[in-house]
Amino acid sequence: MQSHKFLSKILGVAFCFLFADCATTDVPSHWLSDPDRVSTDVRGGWIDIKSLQGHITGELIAATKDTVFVADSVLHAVVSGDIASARLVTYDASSMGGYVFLGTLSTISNGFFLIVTAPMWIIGGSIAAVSRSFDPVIDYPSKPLKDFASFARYPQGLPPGLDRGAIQMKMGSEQRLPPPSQPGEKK
Amino acid sequence: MGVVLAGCQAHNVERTLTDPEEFRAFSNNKIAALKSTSPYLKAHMKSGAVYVFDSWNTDGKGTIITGNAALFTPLRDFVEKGNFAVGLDSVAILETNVIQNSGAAAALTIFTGITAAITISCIANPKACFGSCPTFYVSDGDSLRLQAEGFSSSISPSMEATDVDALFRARPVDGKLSVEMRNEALETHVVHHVDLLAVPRRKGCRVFADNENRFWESEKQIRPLSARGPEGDCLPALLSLDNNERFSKADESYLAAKETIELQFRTHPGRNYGLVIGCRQSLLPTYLLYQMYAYMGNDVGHWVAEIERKNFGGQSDRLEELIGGIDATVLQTDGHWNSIGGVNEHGPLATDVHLLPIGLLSDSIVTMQLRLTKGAWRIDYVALAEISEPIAPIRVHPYSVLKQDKEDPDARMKLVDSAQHLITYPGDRYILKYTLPQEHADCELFLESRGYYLEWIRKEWIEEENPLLLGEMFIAPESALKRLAPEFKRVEPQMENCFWRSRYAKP
Repeated sequence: MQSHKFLSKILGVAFCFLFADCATTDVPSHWLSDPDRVSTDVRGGWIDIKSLQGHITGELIAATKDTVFVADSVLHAVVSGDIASARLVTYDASSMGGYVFLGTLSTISNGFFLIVTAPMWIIGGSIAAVSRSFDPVIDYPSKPLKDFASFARYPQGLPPGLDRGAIQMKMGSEQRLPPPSQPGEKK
Repeated sequence: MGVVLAGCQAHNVERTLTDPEEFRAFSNNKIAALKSTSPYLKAHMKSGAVYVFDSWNTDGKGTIITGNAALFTPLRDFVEKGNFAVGLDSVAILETNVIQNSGAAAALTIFTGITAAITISCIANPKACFGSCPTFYVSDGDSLRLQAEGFSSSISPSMEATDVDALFRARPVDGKLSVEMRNEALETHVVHHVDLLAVPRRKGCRVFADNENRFWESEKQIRPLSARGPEGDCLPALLSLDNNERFSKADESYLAAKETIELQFRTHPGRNYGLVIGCRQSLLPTYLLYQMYAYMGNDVGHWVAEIERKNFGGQSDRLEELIGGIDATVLQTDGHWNSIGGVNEHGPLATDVHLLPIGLLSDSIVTMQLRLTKGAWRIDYVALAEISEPIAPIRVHPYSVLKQDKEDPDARMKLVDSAQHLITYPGDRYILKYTLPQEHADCELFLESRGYYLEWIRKEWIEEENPLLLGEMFIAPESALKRLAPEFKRVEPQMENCFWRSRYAKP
């Protein structure tokens, strides 16, 4: 009984740490490439914008000095000055929560020394997991919007002469296109 | 653990965009470095199309990129894959991505390494795993401190013995003292009693116990003028009971090889003195005990029964005698060394403080020698105590016993009733509470424990079962101590750390 209580406390603390402040996004499952495949991915990163035009999410198409272009089923041009906040996720940094959990469990084999190694995993591991979740994230306004351009589909800006009406978010093989965001819609 | 390690292979991406004009100016070395860190190159064309090169080169003038690439339309539809030559004039921007290890993953890798090292070190060095008798933790006024270990040499029922340990740094609160008794080893502890012995003392005095459990009050303790071992001056380590211990390594060829520490004290001739030694055993005796169990292997029950029946005569004690204790001698005016006895209390866990009565000293400078087996003892404190007459202690039984923080009257009854024993198992923890005698303002405290313990045989030990080598330990212990020396020297550096790490605790 004592051991169950102790384990419950450890797990409780671990979950508090793990899920307290990880980076959160609306990115569809498996939409982003993992870091090793980013070099061959020809799409932009996933962006989540809160602006005067509403809440817009989708593939970052381009980020110019005065406009950010985002595509879902259609292309949205969002005026930079209207943007209150934005979060760009550049690749899929898989969650480390599971590894921290397994690492914490593995300290059972440390006997008495578990008193040191279990908190090391729970606290240090949770900090590492939270830190990892922010690795692929660029936030505005803490970073300027021009920093977003590197991870746009067109880092050079929208190519001249390109039919804007034809630009859509490019899906991975496992995704379905979500409905377009409506200007003014609050999500 | 492997899964956790695999999870630690997380990567980050560092993306760099380069203007074609800037790219043209790159030196050959810079391009070579870029190709090694970023094998893929993306050429974003002014038209919006993109080439993803998986191998690439530039011409001598730096105006064309050639290589194997996949071509995508501006709307990111795949066109074809093949060899392409792309003029930099039509490129809007070039993209490279360097994959790096994540710092967060590196932290988890370190955690995994620490956890694995602790697990493996105990598996690889099973004879250094925590053992030896009940441990007693008492507050020193600041924190709970390991202050005593009970009946360390009592490894079978016939060896049940009484052990008196000084609670030299205990600090009672409001006339009460709590003693936490733990079973932190893979052992069964059979505890007959754990009583507090309170010895009334005058203000400013200390009380020391000798080998016959007589208690001597001392008004003054004299530090050594000098202390020299084979390593040279060792005085700083011996001046106070502070866990800064004087310790030497075991001999490389014979584990019972001796060494000598020479001490000098300034005294007042004509007064009664005793030598105070604060010390504990090293892990050498523990190692030899576990090695003996390993050689017994699956027949350990049989062999321990033989020892119980005393069928070995004095043979089973010879190895222990060769390791021995700390023998003290005093230099006489005629040049002879006079023995004043020795300290030979078993146990590598808690430092205990012992007194060896000397009697009247006639010289103002006294020279003494401590003779001990190399690497077998850790000495924390040495002093000369002025003593007078022995004082009778007041015995105190625990008035309350808590098991895992809950009142346990049954456990208390077993500790108080002389016909019963309290049996404890790995991870058990009892708090014993005592009330100090009210009629005395100040007391020196000692803990008297009686019982024996049964070592649990580890799987790793059984693999070394060898009756012949066991026989050598009994019949020719000198030979065994020579043969085992290299093996012990191999594990000696890690033993102390591994031993303390492997304490058993219930979560």
